Amino acid sequence: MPDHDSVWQSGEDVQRVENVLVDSDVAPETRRFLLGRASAGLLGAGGLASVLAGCGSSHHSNAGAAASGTSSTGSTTSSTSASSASEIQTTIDTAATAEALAVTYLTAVIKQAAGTPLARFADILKAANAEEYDHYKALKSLGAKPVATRFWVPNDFFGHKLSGVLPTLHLAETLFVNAYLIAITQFAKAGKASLARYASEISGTEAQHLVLVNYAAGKTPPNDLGFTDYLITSIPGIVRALEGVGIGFGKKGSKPGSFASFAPPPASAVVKVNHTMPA
Amino acid sequence: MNTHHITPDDVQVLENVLDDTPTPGVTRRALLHRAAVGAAVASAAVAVPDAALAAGAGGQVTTIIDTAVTAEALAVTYLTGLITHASKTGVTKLVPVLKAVNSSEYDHYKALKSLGAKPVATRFWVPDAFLEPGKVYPTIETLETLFIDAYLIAVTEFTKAGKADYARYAGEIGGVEAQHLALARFAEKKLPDDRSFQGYSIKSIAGIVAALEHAGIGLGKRGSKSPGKFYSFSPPPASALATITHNTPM
Repeated sequence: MPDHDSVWQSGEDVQRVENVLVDSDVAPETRRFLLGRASAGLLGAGGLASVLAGCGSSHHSNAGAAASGTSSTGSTTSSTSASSASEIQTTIDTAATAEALAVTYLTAVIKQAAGTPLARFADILKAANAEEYDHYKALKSLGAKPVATRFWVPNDFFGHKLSGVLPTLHLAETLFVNAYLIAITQFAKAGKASLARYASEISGTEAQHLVLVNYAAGKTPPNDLGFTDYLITSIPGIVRALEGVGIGFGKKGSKPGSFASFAPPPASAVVKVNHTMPA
Repeated sequence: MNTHHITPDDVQVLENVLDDTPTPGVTRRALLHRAAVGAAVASAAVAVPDAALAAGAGGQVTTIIDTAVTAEALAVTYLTGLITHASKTGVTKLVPVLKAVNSSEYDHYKALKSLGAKPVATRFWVPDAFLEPGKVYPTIETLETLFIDAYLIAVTEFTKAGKADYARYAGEIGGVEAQHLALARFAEKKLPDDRSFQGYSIKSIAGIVAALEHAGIGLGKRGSKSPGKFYSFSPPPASALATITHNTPM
């Protein structure tokens, strides 16, 4: 059964919306408005940016009047919606940056894994890499712009025979799960139900990575949480936590290390996975 | 021009667009109702009468948490049985993992009860096959997949109801259920982390309940698969639990 990836398969889903609107005898001006929003919001680079640009603008009240013949019943003020849109943009930009960092790091780890204790987890690492890349692509299609694609990676993230990898991944995945819970909260406050769900879909996968890191590290039991972690409650807090362990976003970090640049992972660093787009 | 038959998928696509597009509530409800009425397939996800649309977010939130707490009670009942009879159910090797799973499901149950959830059943029909060695982990995989889907429905509906904290709690629980899914797959020697995004193929809580019943479970009544037995929920004994952290939602 195909994923219902309405936000991603632009042309097909705009057509679906049009079909539904025509068969539902929707007034032409309402249909034109909604199709315009669907096209602007779903097609290519417009993505979320186009949708967010409409938040709180005069479009809202005009659209409301056109659609229902009444004045807009929207409950948010322009400034609240603009603030919400700006926060959402920051969140998805940071998330895309984190996913790019994850791909950059995992690709390097996978390349070095042969002959180390991590070699037996190669497929799990490659699957994780494929998934982080899918997350990156999804966020980009929403209009996310990474704040950096060149990262300072501390040397101790690797270590002798990659001994530093599992502790690094445990920290990173814990922060990623936390970040997507922040996203769920923020998107939910903004009334963005689909976005909140997409964030939850990603958060679940990051939580899977975390439990597998625990297993690989010999933690018994590896599933040690009743609820996933929400100790940090802001996106800047997540960024500070990542910088606190030595990562640099487009600049030198606080620990000995080197720069690495993001690139799509080579086929040798991924395996095939399912559910490659949000539903 | 169009011979297209509206399907539940189309209704969902329209709903997603409306969710992400500033649309007055009156227009949104009217459009979704017309799309649902026009849909070709009759199902719980599509047949949305005016009363249900007008019922408001409160009813939906209550239904979701009541169903969720029932599912958690089912999970604790099943897991306690597996652990207690580990030598017969073939799970001895992974008992520490299952005890931790049981602890987290019980934490979820208690959290949902604290939100006012009332289980729709605490007596469950469980097919005997669910307890057979070799069938336990596939059963857990099926159940966890449904639970994850249910909590994604919860995130969606709680957002629509304006309950951001509830949406996050659902995300926190969904993450832990996803961990259980990965471990079940690992026990089956499958690639444990096989998906980029968690599954959202069922879009309604009624659909989740239908899927559980289709699998043979009975919620307070005999299930569709026999042989089987009734089991009643009760707080798990200490011997069926492990110490875990993060026991309440944040």
